[in-house]
Amino acid sequence: MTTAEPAGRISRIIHDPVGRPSTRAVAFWTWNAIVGWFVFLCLQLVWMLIANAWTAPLHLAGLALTVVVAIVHVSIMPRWRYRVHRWEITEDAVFVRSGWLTQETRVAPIARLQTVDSRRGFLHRIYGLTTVTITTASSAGALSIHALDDAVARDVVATLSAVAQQSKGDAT
Amino acid sequence: MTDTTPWRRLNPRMLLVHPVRELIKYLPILLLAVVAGSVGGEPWWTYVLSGLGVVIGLLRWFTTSYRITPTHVQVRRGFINRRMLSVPRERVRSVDVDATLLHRLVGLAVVKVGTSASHGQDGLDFDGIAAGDIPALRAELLRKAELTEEDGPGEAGGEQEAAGGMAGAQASGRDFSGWRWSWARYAPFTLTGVASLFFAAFFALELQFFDGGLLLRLQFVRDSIDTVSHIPLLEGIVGGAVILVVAASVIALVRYVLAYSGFAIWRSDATTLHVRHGLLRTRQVTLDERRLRGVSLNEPLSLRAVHGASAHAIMTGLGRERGGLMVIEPAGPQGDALRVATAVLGDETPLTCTLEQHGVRAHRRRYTRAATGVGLIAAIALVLQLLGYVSPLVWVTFAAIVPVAALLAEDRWRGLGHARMPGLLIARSGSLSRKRVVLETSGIIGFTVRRSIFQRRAGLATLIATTAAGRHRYSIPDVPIEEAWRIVDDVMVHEPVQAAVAQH
Repeated sequence: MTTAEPAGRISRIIHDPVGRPSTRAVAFWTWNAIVGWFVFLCLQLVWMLIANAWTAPLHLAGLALTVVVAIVHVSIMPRWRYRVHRWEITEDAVFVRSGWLTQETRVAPIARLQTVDSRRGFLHRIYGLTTVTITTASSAGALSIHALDDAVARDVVATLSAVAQQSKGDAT
Repeated sequence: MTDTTPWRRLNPRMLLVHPVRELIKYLPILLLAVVAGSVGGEPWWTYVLSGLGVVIGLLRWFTTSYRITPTHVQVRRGFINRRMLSVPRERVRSVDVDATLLHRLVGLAVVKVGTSASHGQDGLDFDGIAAGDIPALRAELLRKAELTEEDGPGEAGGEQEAAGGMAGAQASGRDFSGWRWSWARYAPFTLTGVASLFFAAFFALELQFFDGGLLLRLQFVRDSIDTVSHIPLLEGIVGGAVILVVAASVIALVRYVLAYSGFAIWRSDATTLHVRHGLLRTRQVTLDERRLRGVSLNEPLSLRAVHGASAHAIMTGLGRERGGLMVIEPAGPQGDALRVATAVLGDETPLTCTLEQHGVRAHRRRYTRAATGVGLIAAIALVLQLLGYVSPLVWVTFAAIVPVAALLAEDRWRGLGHARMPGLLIARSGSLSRKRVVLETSGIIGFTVRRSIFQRRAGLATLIATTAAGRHRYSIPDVPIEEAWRIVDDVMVHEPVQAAVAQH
């Protein structure tokens, strides 16, 4: 850190970060949501089965509501997420933006990184995606870069682990 | 490890404590067995069970040993699964001496060691050290020369100087809390005091409003209701309210006296802070002030009404049990809380300076949020009324709910604000539980800027500073978004640069 950066550097990155999730992320989020809603729907049906309430208006209304909300969610959320999600790793900090209705931007100085781990669930593997999570000494400070291409994720993990090893002092 | 430091055992008087503690644990079962036994059948298995408990308790003493080597603190535990916990000494952050009544009877205490990673691992506890050995053990654990780790840029110099100055002003080793027994009068106004009032009120309401409420299943409650139902309604309500307030106050008072009697805070040298409190179960915590990351001044609405406040130190390495927060002044007069917080922080300005408010949009948002809350209650009331659980009279209560919500919104707005000082981020928010948090920027290890869809429309954001100390997250609600980015930029980019320049 030899030169003081011009003011508003973070704002620059906030408004124009380089990294985006993989293009397959939209499909991944779509199927992820569909699976979730399917499980929820099944639970509702099981409830109806147990209560033997196939014609009860409240149950049917609940079922209809679930279907409508699910369709809206599945058709809106993935694209919206793809528009919002961004990440960038500079030489001194990591930035991640995520969410859709509620959006979050997380910033952590690279000097404070503690661990880097990558997670690949079943659905992740089908689409060849990886989620990289970076933790700091604060339990509230974890950053997740969602739905990266496997190859990109490997690069990110390699870069960050090298940095995390060098870093001294985690402010504990 | 070729270390030859001998292993030490805990105090043998623990052999008295363990069986008693185990028996207390099994007391409910034993009592049940005695009752059942009088009806018929020999409850031999309960004796076996408690006997086994006692044996396991005794075994614990024989299988536990510890040692402090020049580099590590180590504890060996377990009979079948032997486990060794080893912590580098430079990771030791605090020593908490906890003496329950049982321990005090035999002159012992538990020494709990807080480490820098204590949210990740279970505690390094020495259960059973003789009171006389504690000062030596504590000194050994906290020996300053071992603390070499450099962490957090720009932290060492200024803070220590400030602390040193304070120690000069306060004769070293003298208690500066100013705690008096009369402060117990603040107890009913603390958040826990008020919470216990609501808890009691909830039970009372359940009893009033719902047929077949939980309490109605008890015979003696039903009997007393029969007598109560002869009292006219108004008298009943007033009487009930008085009883509730008195009961909740007594509970809060007892709690306060048990926890904070004899509260004392003092410095033994420039960077070592000691806090002691408790009536039956006493606690004494020794803290390394280099682990201090800030201070919070707590003024919940109820406490503010009687000009009271309390103060916490925000630290790292306090152990899981305390959640990184150390009470440095229990509920007491505002002036005293401020004085102690100032003494710990080394500067009064951040605790009293005027804060930057968050503008018209944030003001409006406090009201829309209050309105949303009222709307939600109204919806619930409507549903309950339609289902026939409550009478239409319930809407009368809205004559009180609406103005109260509006007043709370206004009070929340008045409390909302933040300020930046060199090396410090100051934020205040809340009404029912208002807090002013002073956080050292060197302890901030990241930011989260969270914006709901409504906040984005209003150009606001919730700025959350993450840290390894205290609650791990400190948020400033509804900051104008440009200001939020400015703070992030300031703290994340500019302060580290300044500190680096200062070091060269």
